[in-house]
Amino acid sequence: MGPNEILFGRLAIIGVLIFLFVGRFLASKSQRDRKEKIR
Amino acid sequence: MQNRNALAILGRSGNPAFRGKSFSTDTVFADNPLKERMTLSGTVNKTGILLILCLTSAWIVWSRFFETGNPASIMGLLWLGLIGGLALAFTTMFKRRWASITAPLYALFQGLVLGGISAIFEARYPGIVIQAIGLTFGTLGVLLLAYKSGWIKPTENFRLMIVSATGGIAILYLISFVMGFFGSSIGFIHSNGLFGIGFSLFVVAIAALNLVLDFDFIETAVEQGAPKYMEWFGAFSLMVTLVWLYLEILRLLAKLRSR
Repeated sequence: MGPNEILFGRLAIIGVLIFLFVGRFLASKSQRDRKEKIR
Repeated sequence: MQNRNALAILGRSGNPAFRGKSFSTDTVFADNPLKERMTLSGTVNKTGILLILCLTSAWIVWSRFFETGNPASIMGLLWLGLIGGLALAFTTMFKRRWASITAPLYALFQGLVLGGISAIFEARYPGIVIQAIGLTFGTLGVLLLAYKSGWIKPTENFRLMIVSATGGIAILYLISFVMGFFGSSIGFIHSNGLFGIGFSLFVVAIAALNLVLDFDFIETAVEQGAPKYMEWFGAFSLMVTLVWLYLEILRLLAKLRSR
């Protein structure tokens, strides 16, 4: 396994973990309660 | 007002799976019991399931390609995935109540396509696939953080811009596809010159920003208490954008490597 696989493999794992963890929480209050929301 | 009219025509999101009518018939969810409502956790879990299914079928095609070393050995599976995936994507868009069945099938079929295309690119440019996977999921993670923290706010103007750009790209690809039948094509789309790379960068950016619209759409659906089957539909829509983003990143990297 070369540096290419280590670098981008880790990036992929971190991205998936962020999605699996952060994706479960609602967005910040400033995001949810803003006025210019899409109707 | 003009923006609103345009959005009504073009749809709420750039993602074709998230058309304007996707939720309009389900806008009143107040009567839904709590247990039957869509949740963020449920959507994340289902997206995870779709990703695993997609990777599994992609692995089958990938392995077959590198065992035989012959692109012809995977062409049947690639076409099966392409046609089956397209049919299932349209079925899911028009019959979203079926998403619990059609979305996993779509992921399996799409995996056949991604596995085949990835293997062909990897054989030509070794190491390119892990780069594309890393950049795709890296983009997903960064944009999710940017969205959740409120750093990127999807407003109506933002949505109009992304929807218009996505539509423009779709039309350009369609014209290029049709021109292909007559032995011609739109040169800069496939060129590895500065203009071709600039075009690919633009498409990658638009595909990535579609993720923000998907996040907003899913969160809005959860807040409105959309029915449970919409978790599958939300996961399917994210998959559509991720597949597009991955293919565009792969193409951009290939252009850069071929210079």
